[in-house]
Amino acid sequence: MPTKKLKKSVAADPPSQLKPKTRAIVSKPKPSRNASRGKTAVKSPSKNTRKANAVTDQNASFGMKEVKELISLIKDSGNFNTFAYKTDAFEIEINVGNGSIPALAAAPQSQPIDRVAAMPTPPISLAPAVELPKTRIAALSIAPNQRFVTSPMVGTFFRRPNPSLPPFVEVGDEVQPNTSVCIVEVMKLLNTIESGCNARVVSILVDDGASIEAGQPLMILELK
Amino acid sequence: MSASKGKPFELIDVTLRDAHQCLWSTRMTTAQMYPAMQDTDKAGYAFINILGGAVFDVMVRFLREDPWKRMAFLSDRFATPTDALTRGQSIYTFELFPDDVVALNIELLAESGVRVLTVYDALNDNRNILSSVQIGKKNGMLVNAMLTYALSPVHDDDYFVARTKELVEMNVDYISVKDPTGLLTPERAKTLFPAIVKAAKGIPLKLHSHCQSGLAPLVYEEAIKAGFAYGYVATNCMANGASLPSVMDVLESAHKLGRAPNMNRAALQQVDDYFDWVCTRDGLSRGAKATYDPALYEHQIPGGMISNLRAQLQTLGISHREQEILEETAQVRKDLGYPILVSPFAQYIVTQAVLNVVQGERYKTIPDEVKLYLKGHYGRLAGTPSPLVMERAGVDYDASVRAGDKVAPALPGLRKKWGKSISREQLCLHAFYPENLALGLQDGTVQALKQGTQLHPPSELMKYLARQKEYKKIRTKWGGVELTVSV
Repeated sequence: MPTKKLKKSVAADPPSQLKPKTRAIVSKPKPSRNASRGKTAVKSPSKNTRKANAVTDQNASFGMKEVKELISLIKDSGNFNTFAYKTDAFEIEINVGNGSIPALAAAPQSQPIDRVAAMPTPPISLAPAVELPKTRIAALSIAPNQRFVTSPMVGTFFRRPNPSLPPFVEVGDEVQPNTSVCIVEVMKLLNTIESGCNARVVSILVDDGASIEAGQPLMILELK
Repeated sequence: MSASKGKPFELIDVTLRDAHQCLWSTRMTTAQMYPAMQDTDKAGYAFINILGGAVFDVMVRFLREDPWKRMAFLSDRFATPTDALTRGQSIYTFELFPDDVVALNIELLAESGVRVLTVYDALNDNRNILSSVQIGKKNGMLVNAMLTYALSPVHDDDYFVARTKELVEMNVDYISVKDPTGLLTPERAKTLFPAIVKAAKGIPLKLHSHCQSGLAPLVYEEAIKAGFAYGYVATNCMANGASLPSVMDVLESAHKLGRAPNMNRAALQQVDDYFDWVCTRDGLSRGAKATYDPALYEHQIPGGMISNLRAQLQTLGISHREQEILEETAQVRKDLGYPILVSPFAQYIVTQAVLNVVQGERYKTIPDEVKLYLKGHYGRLAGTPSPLVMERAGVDYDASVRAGDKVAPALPGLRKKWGKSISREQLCLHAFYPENLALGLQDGTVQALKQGTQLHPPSELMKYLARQKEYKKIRTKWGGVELTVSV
């Protein structure tokens, strides 16, 4: 409700914010409204802190209603370099650039372009990192009597039931199908992974706490 | 039917709790609350809800504010009785806590001045709220027990009547219907509400419904007609959408149906003007009325969770499978015996659905938390899980033991560790959180008091402008003081 009222009053105001390239807006609210606002706004800060005690001007004021109106004006002004507003009670001037607008505007613009131009290089160097797990899958060959324990999902690999306990298994340990061998955390839930076969742990391929891909081999088991 | 019928339909404010939980990711600070407190108190609310699980947790984890300080600050200053919500045996999180920690938390709430203890269990297993109800009463609090609504073949009127009767047996002071996803329709309410009113045997009823489907304001009208005594509402600009209905809309409904409470509209407007400004100043969301979405009734995932899920799917690189995952969510929910899609079960169901879709096979991997749920570790299940799920999980269902009895008392160990001189508030924080979180919390009320209750317009404007990164230089002149800020 207050926003609706606000929009109306802004629309009724005559300032030239409709012109997109306006550099300055000077808006003087009508004296009648100003005076009526003066009463409430002077009353409220005077109850308050040291700062507010500085308010002694009884004829004009700058209250929350004016703050909201001013922000609507600023928003409606679109892209500006300088915004200025002045009443008897309050003045504000906002600068977007540092004054010397054309020079400054040109400089930062050219920089992002340079960065964009440089973009093709990083993806190339990034690509192998992303594909690393797959490469590793291809590179890893196992004997016919060996099995991978693989990750069900993108997640985090944990070797221990919790940080204060020893790992579920070590290389050389014998496991049964229902032996828990690790935990994979997926979307903040823990999935305890079982070995699924009678076997011996031959190799643990991933570090505790590492991020893992879906289908990534985590361990090698040798069937008994 | 109900004794409440001829009386005004009283309202309970959730602006300081659920409204910002739904719209601001629970990030409202004590300082943001302070300027609205006096008007909220004058507005004529029956109760003011100041705490829920997420509020406590976010204060500790993200705002780093001491929740106990805020609780005392609010209850001290409000003449209107305050209301705090816990998740029963899980208190503010989703773990199970022993009865001694549950008791300490409620004692501290009572001592801080909270008048109403509101408590619910996400499975509607009322054994999980039993200890809370007893301790609340022992500490002189009014106890409000909540029934969590869900839409499923097993959640029929008989189911809710049976749960209501359990609460009547527990001698609670109020019974609430809580609809976390806003799934209730006026048609459903027409049979459900009178059935619950009848089963409640004169215990006053409250309605707490979110607005994701856009139907909640109409559902509140059904509650008013059925003889509910209270409705939870939010200030206008922070109502609707994932939040609760607007105080203004429900006030209108109550007026139309001849049960208008005596509210101070000027104070309500002041509160709303203030929070509307805070939304602008701090770049925070307002509530927006939801449009009807039939898919909501299929997957039933709360609005806040959908956006979270989308972000997670993007991280996992499977955004293109969202539709499949949402459909699978409905299937998983059925297979798991229709758990209600509230935290933490919503997360369990969604994660299981993602695993099923990504692995191309149902229940090949089942998260440990889902297995515990299937075992009955958290409590009784509303429906029966499918044989496939039970077989794949390799667990047997046994919910004969109350969840609270499965965890050993924690306070003796904590007292030993932290010594006798530690405050009970700090002891309670240690029971909930690891040391890095439990220690070093700030007193948010200091900041609130320093800031004061009156807004200083030029400062407010500067706070807003400071957030707009593109402004390099701002010069103001007010009351003879000139200020220039350059970036």
